[in-house]
Amino acid sequence: MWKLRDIVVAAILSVVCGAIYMGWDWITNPLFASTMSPIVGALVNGLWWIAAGLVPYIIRRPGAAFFSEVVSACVEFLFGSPYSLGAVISGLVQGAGSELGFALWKWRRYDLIPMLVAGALGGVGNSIQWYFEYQGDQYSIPVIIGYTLVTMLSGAILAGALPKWIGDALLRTGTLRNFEIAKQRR
Amino acid sequence: MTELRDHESKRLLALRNVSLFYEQSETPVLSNIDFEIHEGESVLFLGPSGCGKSTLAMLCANLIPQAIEARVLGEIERARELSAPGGVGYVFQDPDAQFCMLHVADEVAFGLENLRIAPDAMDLRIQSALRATNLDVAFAAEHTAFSGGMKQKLAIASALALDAKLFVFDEPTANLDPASSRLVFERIAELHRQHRSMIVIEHKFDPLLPVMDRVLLFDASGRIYRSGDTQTVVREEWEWLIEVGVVAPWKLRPTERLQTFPAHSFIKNHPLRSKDVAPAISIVNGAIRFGEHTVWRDVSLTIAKGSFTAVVGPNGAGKSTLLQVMRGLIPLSSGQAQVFLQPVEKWNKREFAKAVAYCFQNPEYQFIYERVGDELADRLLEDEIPEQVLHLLLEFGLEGCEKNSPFALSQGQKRRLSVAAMVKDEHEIYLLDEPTFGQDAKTQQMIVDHLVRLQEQGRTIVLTTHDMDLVGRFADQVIVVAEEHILYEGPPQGLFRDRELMHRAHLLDECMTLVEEAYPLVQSAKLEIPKFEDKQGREEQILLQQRQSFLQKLNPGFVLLASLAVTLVAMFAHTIAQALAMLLLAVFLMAALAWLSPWQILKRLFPFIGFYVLYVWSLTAFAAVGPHTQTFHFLFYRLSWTGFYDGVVLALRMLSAVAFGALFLASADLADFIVALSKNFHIKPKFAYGMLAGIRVVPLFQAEWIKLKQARQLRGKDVRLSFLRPVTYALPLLSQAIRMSERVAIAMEARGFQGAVAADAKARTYYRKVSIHVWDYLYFLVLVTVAIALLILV
Repeated sequence: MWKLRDIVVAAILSVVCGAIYMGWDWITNPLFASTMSPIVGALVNGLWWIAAGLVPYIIRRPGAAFFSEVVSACVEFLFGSPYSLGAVISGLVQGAGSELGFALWKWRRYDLIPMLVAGALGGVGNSIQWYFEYQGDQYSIPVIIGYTLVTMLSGAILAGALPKWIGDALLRTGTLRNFEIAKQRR
Repeated sequence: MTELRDHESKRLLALRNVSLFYEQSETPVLSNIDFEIHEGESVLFLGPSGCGKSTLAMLCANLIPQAIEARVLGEIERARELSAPGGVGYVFQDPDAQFCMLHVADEVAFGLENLRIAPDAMDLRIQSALRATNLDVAFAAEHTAFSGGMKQKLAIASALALDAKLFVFDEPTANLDPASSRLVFERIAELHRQHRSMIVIEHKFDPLLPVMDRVLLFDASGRIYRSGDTQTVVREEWEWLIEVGVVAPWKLRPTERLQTFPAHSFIKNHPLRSKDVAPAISIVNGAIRFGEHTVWRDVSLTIAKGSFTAVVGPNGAGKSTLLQVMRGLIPLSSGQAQVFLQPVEKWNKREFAKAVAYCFQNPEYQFIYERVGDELADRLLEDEIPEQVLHLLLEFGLEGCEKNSPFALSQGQKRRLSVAAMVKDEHEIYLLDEPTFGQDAKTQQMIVDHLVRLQEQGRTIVLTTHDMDLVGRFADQVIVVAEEHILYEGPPQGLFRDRELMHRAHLLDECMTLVEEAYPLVQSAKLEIPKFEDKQGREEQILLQQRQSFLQKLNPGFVLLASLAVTLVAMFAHTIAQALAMLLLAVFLMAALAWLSPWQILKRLFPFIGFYVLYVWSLTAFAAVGPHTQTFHFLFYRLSWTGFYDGVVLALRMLSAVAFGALFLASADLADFIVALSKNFHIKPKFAYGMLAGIRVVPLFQAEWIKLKQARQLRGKDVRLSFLRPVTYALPLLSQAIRMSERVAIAMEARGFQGAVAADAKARTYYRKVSIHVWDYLYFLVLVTVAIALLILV
């Protein structure tokens, strides 16, 4: 059962993540994707669904990954992302991917393996959108496969392991005492 | 728990032998509490920090165990009207963390919606609640711009609108400056005049003494030490209050203050050192301007080496700015600031950091390590803890905490840690921004003792404060910053003789009792003008419901769905003509339905064009090409015309997504959108409103972010390294965000947002008149059809 504090904390963290996405939108493309290659650009993709790892890791509720990723994507859009409504669609597909990862363990396990898998599956959602919306279909097959694999790897690290690390650091500050992450630890 | 019968309703609440444990813990927070409150009674709770005052108040308000889990033993009887939703009005400590809407009227209406009041009856109740709290603002005013005092008044108005039978004030002024505190005290006095029942927890209780019928003293272990008539108990137990740390030892008894500040309150009577002592800090003709706004000007002052200087004045007058100028954090707009006769900007950074220490108001900003011990050693420690660190831990009452996270400490421990970290290296000058603000008396005393010791060693101390008793007792020199100038510079005795000046600078707001005629209540109203002015005043209330363009009359949920659907359709645009058609469709709608001017449209689209050039490049350089396509080689790129073409298609598609996004943004109001989600789309209210509550705290973070960055700069050598440790930036902000969201959630539940009204969209009433009409469906269908048709035809 979602408690009100779970929802509000999910919303606040999503907003913070949305702001990060917005910055990431403007920085990454010039730095990586355009100058080197789409595959190199895919290395940094995972950060775009960090909320879908961080929020479920803390509040541990079914739907947390999807909810937070959609909210953070909407915030990214509101802040003036160059992807505009495309960002909202990203939120839907990336969030659905990560949610699927947590669903595989019936929303009961949140240790490293499920986190990595959820992050990687978020990358699948990302790659599907890239293929259809961002002209991914115009690249050669090896590039498309490479892009997808690197995106999944990036998701596992940046949207799986990194949020777990942040969540653990937050847990040590004692501020998460009333949340599921701390309760399951006891 | 049983309910009292009606004929006994004079008694609102009775607790018998109540003890309370938080989860897991074996030590009770409250032990054997017997407490009753009757209709029309006002009770003051006093006790050292951590004694369970707030816990008892939340228990009385039924927030424990409903919103916060705890084990409660003993017997609680509650009158029926108190258990009903909205029966208890709760005003929390943090004025920012108790709201969940954006506009004044929505905020008050939120509680009414939870009571399922009919929407037509709401306006009247909102209006009378605002009037009763003396809060003269427009219905459509956004409360983020309010001062802390106004926010607390709005919280009181929200409780009044629900016709609360018991008001709980849980340290309502702890985050407020004196002028704002005064406003809250006046409201409490007014409620008392109306014979409302109240529980008040307040450290700055002097002004409230005449309006509190009873006082409850708690000891540190969570037991009631004594209760009885307020004036008598406070008079007789003053020594005890000092001993357990409820009041600081330098604080004057409330009775003493009724005469002016008596001469014996000045312990220090040595005259200020003469001018021939070298000045530590001097400012000549200084001024600070932020754009049009002048903070202060014509500021010239000298702070003698080895002196103890207090900077006082109302909030927003520029006290902290003055301190930051002395540390070189903010450059003067004109004039010169010198430290030890050398201009601030000429100092070598490292030497300056060695000479001048600075302590921020929020201690968390200064922490860059994850363990207290590391923080004090200023490096990552192995298992062994150096002698000096052990010494500091002991001296500042932090022994045993060395392995803990600095953020997990209590408020007082955090402050002591930040002071300990500041004083561990020797500095010549110590600048402290409100070091005692919001701290319990024990921590205040520990800090002040340390500063006095530093001064005895010949160091120079400059601090900002609101505590006039502290100024009188310890300062050699006091600087009053107000009304864009320095109104006074000299020994405290001189200031305290000038009553008129003290009133003007709002220096007495939180210590003068409310009945005192020498200080008319209206005075504090002056600082109460919000940052914006609504010229239309109350007529704004109509504006809240009024729509202008066609698009704004539609349901925002439908506008978003339509925009999203068309963005999906646009994915299938594969030629430049098709993509252009999509873009032009959006631009046409922006002009025709959202009534944007060509200039406004251009302004919304232009910033993104440069970004899409990169996408064009990406595809030009990397797209797959057939065997017969001509390509150019440049570095390791392989450029092709087909790639370029695809790139332009993509750029146009993305631009049309921006345009459809702008179309939604031009029409939608965030609050309308959230309400529509719940009211029309039947998303559970707790998700819809919880989301808004989370989003609305964002602006608060911007200010925090700036302060955090400044604090990091001051760590000197660590600056460059700390960039590599994002956790040192993320942790203070995130942990603050989490704490705040917990408070917001509790405050929402305290206003009746529980059970069905939070879980079922159909179980509550809605103040806002968003609805679904046939037009909404038509808009969606026509737009999607036109988009598909364009793709087929073009």
